[in-house]
Amino acid sequence: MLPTDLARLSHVSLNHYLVLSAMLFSIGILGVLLRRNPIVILMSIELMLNAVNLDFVAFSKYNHDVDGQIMVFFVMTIAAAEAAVGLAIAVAVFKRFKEVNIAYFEKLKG
Amino acid sequence: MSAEDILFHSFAFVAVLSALSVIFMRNPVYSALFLALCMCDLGAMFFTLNAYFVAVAQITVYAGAVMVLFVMVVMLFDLRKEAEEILRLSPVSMAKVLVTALLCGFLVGTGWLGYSAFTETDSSAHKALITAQIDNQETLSKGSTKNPDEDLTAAEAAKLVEQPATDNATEEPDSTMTLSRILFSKFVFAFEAVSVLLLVAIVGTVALAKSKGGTHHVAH
Repeated sequence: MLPTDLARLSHVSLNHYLVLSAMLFSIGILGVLLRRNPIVILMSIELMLNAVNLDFVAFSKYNHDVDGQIMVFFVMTIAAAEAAVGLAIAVAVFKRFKEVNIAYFEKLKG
Repeated sequence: MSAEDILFHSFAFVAVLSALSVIFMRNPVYSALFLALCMCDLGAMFFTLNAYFVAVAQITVYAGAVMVLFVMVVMLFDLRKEAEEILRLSPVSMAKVLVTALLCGFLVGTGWLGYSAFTETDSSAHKALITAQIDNQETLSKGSTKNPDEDLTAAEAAKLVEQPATDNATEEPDSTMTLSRILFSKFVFAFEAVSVLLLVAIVGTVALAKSKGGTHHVAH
């Protein structure tokens, strides 16, 4: 590694935030793919949305533009609505099948 | 290493560790608690990014409201049967891990290399603009025939170059006030649309939660 690269590595820039956000997003995707419990899948989706929020705020700081922070508000609102509806569906599935597993979601009707 | 760097690296370490714990904990209650930790950590990171209002909203909305919802629902379920294997050593789950690692590599590569290339070209364009401006002024001072058009473009270029710096100076100290001003003027229609969406989500959630025995009728 070049000395200039090392200097760039130790000083926090926008790239650091982008890399961290990419890692959090990938961890969220891994959770959605690997887990069977719909609640943990919803948590992984929240994790991905948070990674995107981090990107928005970092771009907003480094581009000196407040619009990114406003997008974070909209993402937060929609994430809260999505979590509420998703959990309500999970509760409905639990009431019907007495167990909660993503496999039961294919039996949903109407 | 300045204080900002140390803060970033410790917050990033905690964020990645708690995110990994969210998906690899067997017990969903622990997953929910680690997700709350991750949210609080990201909220602290928003503080270091000077987004104070967003940070407070993150902690109240996510770590407060959404996490309480998750923990309540998790506690509603019977968890004793919930001993799922997370990482089975089957080819399918290995393929999933591999594909996600590949995606992570692509994203990290674009995040690290792509944006730095973009900023470098940006700053080189900036330098080129400044040098062109200096050349322009030199030719203007040397040349006997003065061209008012070129003078105007040079002045405009100077204004364009200086503008971002003055914008920072006005926007940086009072970001919350700027945020609210833009939210209620430029984005007011999106704001109203989101409020309607929240109403629809509330009605849908109540209707789903009131339904007895699942989402469709079964003859018991």
